[in-house]
Amino acid sequence: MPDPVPPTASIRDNRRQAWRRHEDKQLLQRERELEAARRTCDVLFQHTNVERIIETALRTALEVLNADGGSVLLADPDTKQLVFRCSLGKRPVLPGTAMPWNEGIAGAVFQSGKPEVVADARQDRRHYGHFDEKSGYESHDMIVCPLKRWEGEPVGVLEVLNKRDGRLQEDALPVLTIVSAFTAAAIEQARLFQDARFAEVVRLMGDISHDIKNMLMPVVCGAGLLRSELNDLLSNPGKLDAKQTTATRDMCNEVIAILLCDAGRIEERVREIADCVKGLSAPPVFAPCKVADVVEGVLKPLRVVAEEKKVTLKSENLDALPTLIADDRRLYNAFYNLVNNAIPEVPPGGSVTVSGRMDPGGSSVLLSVVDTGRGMPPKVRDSLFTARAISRKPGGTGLGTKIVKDVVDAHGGRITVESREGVGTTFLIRLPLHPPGASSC
Amino acid sequence: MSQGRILVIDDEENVRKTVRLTLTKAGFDVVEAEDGEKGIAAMRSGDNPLMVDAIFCDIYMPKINGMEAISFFLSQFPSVPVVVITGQPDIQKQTTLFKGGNVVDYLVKPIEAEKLVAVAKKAMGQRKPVDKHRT
Repeated sequence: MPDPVPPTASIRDNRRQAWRRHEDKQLLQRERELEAARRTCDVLFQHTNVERIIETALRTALEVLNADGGSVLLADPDTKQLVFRCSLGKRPVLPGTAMPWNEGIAGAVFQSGKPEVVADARQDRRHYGHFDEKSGYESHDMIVCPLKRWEGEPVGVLEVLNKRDGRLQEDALPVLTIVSAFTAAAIEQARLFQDARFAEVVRLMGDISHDIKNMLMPVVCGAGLLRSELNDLLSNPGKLDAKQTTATRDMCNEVIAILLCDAGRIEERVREIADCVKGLSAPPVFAPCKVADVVEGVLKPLRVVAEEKKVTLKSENLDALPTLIADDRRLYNAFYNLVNNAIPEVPPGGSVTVSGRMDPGGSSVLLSVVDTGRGMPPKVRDSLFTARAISRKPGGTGLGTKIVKDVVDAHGGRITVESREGVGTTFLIRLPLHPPGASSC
Repeated sequence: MSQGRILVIDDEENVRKTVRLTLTKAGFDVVEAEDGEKGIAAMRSGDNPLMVDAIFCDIYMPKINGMEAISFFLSQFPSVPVVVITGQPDIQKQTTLFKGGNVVDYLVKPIEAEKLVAVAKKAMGQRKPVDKHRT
């Protein structure tokens, strides 16, 4: 055989250039994958809300792949359907729209757990064209990826459609697989988080139901007692002597006092429940807020209660604080609970003072609620703000401090407590001027 | 003449007060205790100096809870009938208590006044005649 002809310099250059282009392309691909992984990881650690995770993941996938539209569908095992949870593009599918989980290309991918690249969906006989017909938007090239962790069953599918500069091809699969895997993990984590919150609500409801029954007992029993006393009186009109009259009046007054006391406690407890459930279920609403106004709103109604007990309520240096971005209704609840809990602890002549100052760093404010009450033993102080601090019995303040902690957490702040028996208690709250979860207001 | 003496153990002051008023009106003497520990102290291990005829006891209480206190009463004072009053019904606990001895009834709060009086009367009927602690 003749010796092969050695490549000329120009051929060698061409080969080198082709190899470099190939390497560049691979590098670009790796960068896209890393960027997608980074963004999806950010979502995983920033949000515990399934809708936000899904939307951010889908947006990331569309941007990285330069695709025109796409959707995330999650499986509903009860109805055996894939439900559109988020759809982006020119004509998105309405969230909540569902399709059978074994139909269409999405259904096939969900069942097989393997991604598919479709050159032209219109030519694919499995294509569920119903949505295209309804929206007037045509699906061409498409990639459908199962939403699943690397090992695990799919929880739904992620589909991207119609690449703007060319056609979606196999090389886009690694990026989409990474996004899908992280998204599935994030969804699972968010669901676990929501389950944990739900379990907390259920446990709280159990404690609350016990408390309410205890508080209803004097109401139900007392009402029966009054009825019986009234029947006795009416069956013997004018026949009571002075001693019997006094005894009857004393008993009725005692029962009525108990009824009024318990009615007030039930009202207070129901208000606490509403605040607590709101804190667990609804996201905070951030807006510019003056702490001085919030605190004055709290102190005004509570002064009536405090004056009865000869306790002074004061606010100091709050007007000098800058405007915060905060949920003013939640802050109100937090301060209401702290001050309202402090009042009964303070002996006559004492005080409860809410004051504030800027943090030396300038990025947050330090607010304190100081009382001159009897203080807490270390055991009680250390259990505050923990789930176990929730009182099993009426009159306990566990639920109140839980509400306060939830409010501070929702603002990205911190709360600490110092207490000395016989001296008093200080709650110190650090609130950022701009909470991490708030958009720029 | 007193219908009998009843020890009411509940950490809720208003519950104790209404039970006391209801039973007093029906002719019973009532002694109160705010937790299991004080309830046991009131009975004073061994001699029952208060001459208690029946015990109404809550379950969820601080210090010594109702389950522990009731076990103590059933073993140490088998002749004294016990009425359980609870805000948190629990079938398992109920079964354990009834198997444990002289438990008259298991009442779930809120309890009507008439019911309380009826159960107190029933408890008086379940006092055991032989009681070495009552001299």
